[in-house]
Amino acid sequence: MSDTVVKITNLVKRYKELVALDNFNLEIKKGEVFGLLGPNGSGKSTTMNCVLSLLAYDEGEIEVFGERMEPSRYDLKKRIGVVPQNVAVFDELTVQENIDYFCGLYIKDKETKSKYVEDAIEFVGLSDFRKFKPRKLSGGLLRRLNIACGIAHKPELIFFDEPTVAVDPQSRNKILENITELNKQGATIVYTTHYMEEVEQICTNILIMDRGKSVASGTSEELKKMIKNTENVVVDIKRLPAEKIEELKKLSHVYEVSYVSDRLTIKCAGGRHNISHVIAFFEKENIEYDRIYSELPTLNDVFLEITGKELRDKED
Amino acid sequence: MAGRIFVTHLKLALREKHALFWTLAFGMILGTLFYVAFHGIYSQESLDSIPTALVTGDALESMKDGEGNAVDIEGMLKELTYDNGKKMLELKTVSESEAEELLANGDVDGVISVTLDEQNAPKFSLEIKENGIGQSVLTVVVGEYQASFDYLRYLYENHPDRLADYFARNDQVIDYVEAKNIGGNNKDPYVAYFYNLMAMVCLFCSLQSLAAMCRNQADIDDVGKRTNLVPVNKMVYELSALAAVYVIQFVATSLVLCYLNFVLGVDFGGELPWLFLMTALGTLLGVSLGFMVAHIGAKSYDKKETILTVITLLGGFFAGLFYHGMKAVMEENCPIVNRINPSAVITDSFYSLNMFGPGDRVTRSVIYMLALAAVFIAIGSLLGRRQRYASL
Repeated sequence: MSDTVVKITNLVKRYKELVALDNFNLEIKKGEVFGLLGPNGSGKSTTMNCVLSLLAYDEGEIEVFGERMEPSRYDLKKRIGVVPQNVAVFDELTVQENIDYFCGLYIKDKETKSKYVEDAIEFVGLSDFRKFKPRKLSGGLLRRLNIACGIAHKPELIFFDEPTVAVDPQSRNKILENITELNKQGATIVYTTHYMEEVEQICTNILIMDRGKSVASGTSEELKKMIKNTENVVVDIKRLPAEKIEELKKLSHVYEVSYVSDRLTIKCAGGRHNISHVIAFFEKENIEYDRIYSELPTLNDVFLEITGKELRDKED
Repeated sequence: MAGRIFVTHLKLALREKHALFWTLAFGMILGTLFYVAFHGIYSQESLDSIPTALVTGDALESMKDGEGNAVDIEGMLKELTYDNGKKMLELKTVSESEAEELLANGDVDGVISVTLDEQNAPKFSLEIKENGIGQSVLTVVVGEYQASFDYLRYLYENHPDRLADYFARNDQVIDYVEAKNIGGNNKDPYVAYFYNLMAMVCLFCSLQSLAAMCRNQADIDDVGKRTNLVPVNKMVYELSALAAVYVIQFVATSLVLCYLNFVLGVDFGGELPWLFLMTALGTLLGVSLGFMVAHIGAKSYDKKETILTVITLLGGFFAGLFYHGMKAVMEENCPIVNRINPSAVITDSFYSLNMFGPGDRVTRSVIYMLALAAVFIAIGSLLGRRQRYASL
């Protein structure tokens, strides 16, 4: 039996002139925490909505649990949980009533349902808020309720659509912990986001997409190995003449230097002790600097090098 | 599953207090205003005799009974009374030219002319200048008389042996009109405004069904995204939710009816169970209209609400909410509007109940309202069948 949970083949989705998904392909294996990473408008949510049969598409095939996904495939829908980007609960119902209602649409047996609802409330840490109406909850707690409504029926495949947008760090960590825990309990997770740190933190497999196309895929390490950038030396420096930047570019293994807002970033490809060479250059040239450190490339660097643009919008 | 969805949506509708409030408040506030405005007027006007001109010419001379006496049509019309014994018609027998002048001056509501056709049978016709309650009553009187005379002629030509039985059954030509209770149980001409008000209250329910249905649409509401993903047939889900909205809204419209009937003392002219039936069907028509509009294209909730508000207000206008003669104007110039306008259909059902009581015409109204509601739901279901969205 195949361990492929989701398979997308040559998916095309157009919004009039705009091609949102352009022959997009994807395969998600059982037990993965699969990260779908891309900037806003790259097609992540469109992909998810197509897989869930919410959105009509123009071409291609989508299989879930080895079977063609259709709006009327209730047998497949029963095995799927979704945590949408925006909080999707009834304001008139309490926390417990909301979870109970949505869980009850999947689970017929009353006893099982009651147990699952309790499990979900415990899992997201809303025990003290079960009688609260959503409008009384903080943003972070609302997100947790949103998750509970999506996972209470213990689905095998769970889609998380940017669940941490506009969430405080504490709630964000709690949400990420929950996702990791759900995966440990056996659920396959599809996680869409434009926060690369989160993807690096929890995802076992990552697909980077841009303009409706798959740009690269693999584990975090595999993705980073795809690019020539191996190390970034960053220096906080008040004033640096243009000719010195040109000289820095001539150092061995350095292939790109940028100086923006008193921050100098030196990108290196291979080599060891790159930071030592930079420090030696400054001492030789008698240039003063505040702070100097070295960092490994991020997924943003991967995205930047492949597409030539930042993964995250400036305002993010 | 349908039961769970129904119960939860009942809970949602009950807790969404503003939804109930508007249905109740609209009916009660406007009803009170109507009551204050019309109370003094209709107590004076409701039992007035209808000024009518009768033109018979030489026709009556040619119409003789078996004993050679001319048929006394004038006498028969003069004998028509309301339930309290007051004469229904204030009749003047005049020449054709005089009648025209009286009608032109507004001295009479209508001119009843009796002529003879080629077969020497009496032919009744009515000429009116405006539309109103008096004119409506005259239309029914003339129609009933023509039908009775036609029936008599049919018996005379085909079954003369039955004529004796016919006359023996208490002089039906005259009593027929009274037995039909022309002028209704409630002759208050302004009660039509309350029919229209009830129609509007019923149609306002459409806003609640629209809101409930839009909540289930993934391209309008976030909750809709979730409900579209559950393993439940979309139509089962939506119709269960619609049933819950219907129950709550029926309670609200019934409360408005009770307020108008018991608190303000508005006499709708029908028996209470029948009035509740008409309210129930009117509410069904309202929520089904909202259901249909909710499924029109990929428009925002606000746009759909605007469409529905326009339909409701225009419907009320054409049904005579703002000018009570409007319905008759539409009937004369564009009768199809009165057939498909939910407001007119509901108004007509109350009118039929008052004018004719439970019977064929009311049954027709019931069937018509059920059919129209079924059409609205069928259209909504067909439009909503495409479960995938073009954009989200």
